[in-house]
Amino acid sequence: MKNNTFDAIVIGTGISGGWAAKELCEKGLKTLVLERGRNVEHIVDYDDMVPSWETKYRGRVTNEDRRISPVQSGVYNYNERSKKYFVNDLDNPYIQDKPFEWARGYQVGGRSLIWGRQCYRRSELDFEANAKDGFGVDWPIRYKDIAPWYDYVEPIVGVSGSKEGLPHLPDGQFQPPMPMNCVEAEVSRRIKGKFSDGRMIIHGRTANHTLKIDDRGPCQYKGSCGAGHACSFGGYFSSNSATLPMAAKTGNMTLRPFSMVQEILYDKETQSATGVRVIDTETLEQREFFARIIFLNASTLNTTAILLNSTSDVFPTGLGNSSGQLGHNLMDMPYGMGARGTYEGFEDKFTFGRRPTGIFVPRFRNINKSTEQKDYVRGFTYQGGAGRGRKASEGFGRGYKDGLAEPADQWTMAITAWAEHLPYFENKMYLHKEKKDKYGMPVICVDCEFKENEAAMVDDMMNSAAEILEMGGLKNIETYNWEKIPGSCIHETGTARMGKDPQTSVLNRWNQMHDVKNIFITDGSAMCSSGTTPGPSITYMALTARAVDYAVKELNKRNL
Amino acid sequence: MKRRAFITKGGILLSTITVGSNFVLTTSCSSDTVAELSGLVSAKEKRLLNELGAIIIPKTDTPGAKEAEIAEYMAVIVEDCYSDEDQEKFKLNLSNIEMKCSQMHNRSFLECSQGEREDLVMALEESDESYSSIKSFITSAYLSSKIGKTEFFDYYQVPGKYDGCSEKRPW
Ligand SMILES: Cc1cc2nc3c(=O)[nH]c(=O)nc-3n(C[C@H](O)[C@H](O)[C@H](O)COP(=O)(O)OP(=O)(O)OC[C@H]3O[C@@H](n4cnc5c(N)ncnc54)[C@H](O)[C@@H]3O)c2cc1C
Repeated sequence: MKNNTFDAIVIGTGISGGWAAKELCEKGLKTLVLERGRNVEHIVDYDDMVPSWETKYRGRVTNEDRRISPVQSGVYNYNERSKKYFVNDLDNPYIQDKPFEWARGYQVGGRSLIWGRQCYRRSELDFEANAKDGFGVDWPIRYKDIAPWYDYVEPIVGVSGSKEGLPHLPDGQFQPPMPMNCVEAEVSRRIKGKFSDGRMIIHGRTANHTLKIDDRGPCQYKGSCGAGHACSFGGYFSSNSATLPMAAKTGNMTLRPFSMVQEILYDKETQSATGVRVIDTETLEQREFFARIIFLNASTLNTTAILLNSTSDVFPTGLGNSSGQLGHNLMDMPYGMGARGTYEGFEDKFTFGRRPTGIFVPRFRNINKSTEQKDYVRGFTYQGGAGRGRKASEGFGRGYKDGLAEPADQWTMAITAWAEHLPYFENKMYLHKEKKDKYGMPVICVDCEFKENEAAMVDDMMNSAAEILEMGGLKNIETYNWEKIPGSCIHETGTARMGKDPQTSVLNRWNQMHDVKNIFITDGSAMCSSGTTPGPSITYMALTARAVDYAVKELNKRNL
Repeated sequence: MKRRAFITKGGILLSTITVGSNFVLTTSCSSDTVAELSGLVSAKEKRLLNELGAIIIPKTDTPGAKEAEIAEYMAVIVEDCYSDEDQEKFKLNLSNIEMKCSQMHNRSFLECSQGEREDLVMALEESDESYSSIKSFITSAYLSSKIGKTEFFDYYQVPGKYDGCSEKRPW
């Protein structure tokens, strides 16, 4: 094998790319894994154990941060220590035709280092939705096709959660859930069976480990993952903690940081991809690498940008774009509508430990005839939790100082909605005709918005949250709406969707490109719908493992 | 011109970032010549912050704000994290407090006795926006300091478990 030729190439080392690398390597393929950013080695490169007072700004964001990363610095867990896992927006520009917050992490591990770790399976309702109400194209798969692959990835991911037996929120291979605190447990008990539409409060499902997996975890409840500081105990799933070390262990992986893929090389004769053109992000030197199959896992918008930038006589508007769908049907999820209240009771109780998850309310709209809504299709879920802070002390001197350590009189609880974003052809990304970034890659333009169906849910998301808290016995209930713009949920999906028909979709049921059979896309680009339930990454992982299994079988049958 | 090196463990981020323009711009509107030499917050203002801190959060059985050297940290935050507008407000708040002090005691805060300082703060507690803004900044600087986190509060860097119904305060 020449040193630029491999069995497989994986582009990107984030959540989906890490899985592609692991699966391909474990199946014996010599795999080149290309990552545009620097290496981040598990534990060795983390600074989560440095006490906060030893950092210069004790976590705060500086003016310089806001200048170089105006978008990233607005993300909730962007701070003094986590900022090294977010991109510099000036070096990595994109154009917002309409406001779109694009949170990005360009390094080995991608956003798996800083993600929120919530993991929810999609249900049959999600896979049937497009066919039923006619928005978007029908998913070419159903729940039964992906279920065994959720079963396969979950124990390796290490998802903690509770089994509930709900058809619209399928159970998985869970580790024991993280406990609810006393207020959450009590509110959950009080609302049980009280709503005719089945509203209930369950444990959040999260890729934080309550049991040890090899040398990973268990979670120590120190809260560094939520702050984006990574975890020296390996208490949560990341590419760095799990999939990349597993891939490396096979001896089949060649990991190449600072390697930005700009183009897929296509051969007209064989009608297949032959390799990739890469630019070294440090030296700006170009190189080509070749392989029999290529997995694109550069994340939703970046994967599609590579394809749009790979033009030829056969594909003048982008590789695999015979359908004209490439870049279209971009989705995120609207979120941030909810309610909060105060709880009377448990005044002598506190929480100890920084739990990296909360409680969850499964969807309860449009799950059957009796919950059908007149104003909108699909639905939403809630995440939230209860907690007890400290009191605002008054005065000055000894009394003020002592008061600073006093607990708040009451617990508070809040739940916040995450909702489905329908696939609309007009919501899209495309490449700017002239503008290029410093690596010579055309700049991505994003034109995406929420429309009527999303707006029609807003009041219901606020009011239903208030009803849940009220039934749970909370007082002083207020509703809120954070008015988030698209992208800020960081669940961007679509732009190279799967489908049954090559005329209207880019990928087939195996995440394989209709037009070019040896290309597979298993990141969020492939999604036909955003789903009603958040936490899409576990679905990318399951689809990645499934696609690798298929691709390697096809290779062995000499179909590729 | 002021250059600052950001160096993190493992050489992840090794770069020098120039923050010159902002520095010049903000200090040029300050009349305090000391500020131009040592940064936006002058040595005198830092002393004021620490001494005011000692009145608001005194040393008791645990060290207070002055022992926690809040002023050094506050100066860094004002200089690097505050917007131009907030920097000006901060400077103005400090000079307002000094102005109230000289109205009340005919001398600067640092020249006042402990009793005079307490009298001033007592008066400012009534309703003074400048003071309450500085007070909450002093408080967060104290609580986020090593002393605040480990001596005033109990510090659990690695709790090791989650107890959602604990008898004990977690701080
Ligand atoms: C703060 C935050 C909270 C989140 N919370 C959750 C959550 O609770 N649950 C959930 O499921 N998801 C969550 N997400 C989203 C989740 O992180 C993403 O869905 C997931 O990381 C996507 O995986 P990916 O492999 O597609 O992309 P990424 O993880 O983004 O990885 C893509 C990788 O490709 C590299 N790359 C990009 N372009 C190129 C190129 N041209 N050449 C070579 N390499 C390239 C990038 O550098 C990066 O390393 C959250 C994200 C953030 C930032």
